[in-house]
Amino acid sequence: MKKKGFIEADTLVAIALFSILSITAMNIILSYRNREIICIKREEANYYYECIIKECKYQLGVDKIKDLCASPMYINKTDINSNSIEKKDLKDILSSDIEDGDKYIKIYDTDDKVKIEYVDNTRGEKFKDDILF
Amino acid sequence: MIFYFKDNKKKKGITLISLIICLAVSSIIIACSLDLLSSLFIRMKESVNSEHRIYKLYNIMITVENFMEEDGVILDNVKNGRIDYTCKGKESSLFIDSNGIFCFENKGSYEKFNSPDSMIDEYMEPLVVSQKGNLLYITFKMKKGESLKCCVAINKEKK
Repeated sequence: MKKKGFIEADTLVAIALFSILSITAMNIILSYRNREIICIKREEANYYYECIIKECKYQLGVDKIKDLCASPMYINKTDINSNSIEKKDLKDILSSDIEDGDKYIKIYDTDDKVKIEYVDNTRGEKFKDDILF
Repeated sequence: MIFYFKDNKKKKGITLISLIICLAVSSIIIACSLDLLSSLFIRMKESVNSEHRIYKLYNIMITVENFMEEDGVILDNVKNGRIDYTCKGKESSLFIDSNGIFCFENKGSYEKFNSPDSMIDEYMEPLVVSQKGNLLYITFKMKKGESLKCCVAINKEKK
């Protein structure tokens, strides 16, 4: 029997399966990379929480930070990226305005605690986290 | 892969082109998949190393905090990753030696602790410590540009 076409049906199915598997693998890898970015952001957030909380507790004073942050105060992207948290006093880098809505730290007084919010929407993945102390 | 070519000469050209396209597409897909898979394995290996480093870093953090929480006083600005301080009148130092082992030195007596293996691996640069008031910022810098950081409070006195 004379065969029609240039490719056998089972070869076509194999190619289709291979393509599906490749696309699935690519999706898995992409989601892994996205999760990795979120992990890095969470690590950064934990570090900033640690710095701010320790500075408030052992250097600045919790009452003082409550007074300062009666209305929400922000640490802006420029200060975060230039490591100002490690170099300058916390009260010197707090600002009442946001420079860039994609990356900032918000500190404000709630009823009896201080809340720190970390927002980082850079590098493709949105991240928002907060902590009370 | 098995391909059938028709007898018709005109159609033979088309099937050859199709065959070449098929092979090219398959090669590209295989190359991309292999590249992505290898990068995935490297990243997974790196993330395990990273967790190990975080564990080491927090070991350092807890040790420094424990040593300095009572009445530790930093003698000078932290230089070359070496923290010289006095605690209960004794001069002591915390540092990472040339073999990457975390050490505590007290008037010539030398003690290695907390890290049976090296604190520094091939991807890491020496420990960097900076100071702001009674807070120490300890950084492990990676050669790839990433860094692991922690903040240590010394002379803890709640305000």
